[in-house]
Amino acid sequence: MTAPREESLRAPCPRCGEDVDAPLRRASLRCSWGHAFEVALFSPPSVVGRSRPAALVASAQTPCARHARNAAVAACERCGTFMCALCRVELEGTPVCLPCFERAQADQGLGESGTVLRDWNRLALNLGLFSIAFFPFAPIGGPLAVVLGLRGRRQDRRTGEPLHPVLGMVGMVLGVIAFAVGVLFFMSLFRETGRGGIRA
Amino acid sequence: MAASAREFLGKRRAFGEVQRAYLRGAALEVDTYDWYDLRRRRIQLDEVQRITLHRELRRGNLVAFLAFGLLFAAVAALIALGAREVSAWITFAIFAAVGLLGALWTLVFWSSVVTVTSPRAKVVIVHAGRPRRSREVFRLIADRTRETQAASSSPSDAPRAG
Repeated sequence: MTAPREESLRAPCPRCGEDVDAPLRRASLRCSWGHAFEVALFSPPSVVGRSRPAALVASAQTPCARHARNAAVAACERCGTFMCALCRVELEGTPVCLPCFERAQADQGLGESGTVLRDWNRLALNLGLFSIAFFPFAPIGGPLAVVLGLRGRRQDRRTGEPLHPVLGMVGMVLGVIAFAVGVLFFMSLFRETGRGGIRA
Repeated sequence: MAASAREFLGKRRAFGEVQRAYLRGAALEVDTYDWYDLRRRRIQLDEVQRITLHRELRRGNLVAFLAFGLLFAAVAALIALGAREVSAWITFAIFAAVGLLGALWTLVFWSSVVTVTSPRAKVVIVHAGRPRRSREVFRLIADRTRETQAASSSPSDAPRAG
């Protein structure tokens, strides 16, 4: 007697995109081009679990435009199509259908949800290094590296998750050293100029 | 409440961009560095549909190493034809050897790639020449995803109040 087989599972080859039959949810597969890969397939409950057959909900409820057996849970904000939980995708907070989501992605790229941070600490380090290497610029670059390092520390405190804190510290120290070297350079230059100019 | 610790899974380098992937609780966190800007997005594991692991040749690296090696080898050969002294062409020959060794390394050690696909996002984690680490990451994400989806599907079976 054979074990009960799961519903038909297919997985696209990650190298060529060809659909390959998967005997199990977790399997080692090979496409017809000979590309070997491992796959683990899932049925996300956050998508599947929200979808209920239309017959089980009120009979007056509108069915999904693509899945007639599923009840519509929202209408697409771009094209107005009724969609079930399977088809519903959030695009910057508004529900849209999959074709509209893909169109938006293809047209202008999606403004992805998420946090945007600036890596002030790395910026401070690079400016500190620049100020050391090109010390005539250090009277400006050195203090700026310190300011950027402090800004990085403030951001780290605010987010509660330090982003390269050591780089920021090193950048600030380099900034201070570069500033001192730059100031000494200009002081000696002015002193020489005062004594009658620099002789070749 | 303190944020849960995150575990570094791997990174992927593209031209002018680096993506670093972490596992934090029931989500993948992807940090994308674009110069000094860091964009952080989160992919919930209860949305993940598919995780794959495969190996692939880094063609871009191979071409770059070959071009580098062959260019210096050609210069070394041209100089060696004109001047018999070793000191005249040895520097170029060393650079050529570095390039050709890099190409050989790329040919022998393929990259292992873990791809996590959800309806809204796709995360690619590349481990160059470290298949064991890639397999560990694949298993870790697959196990955590299964746990997360099992946990989030069980309460939905019970009727909800209200």
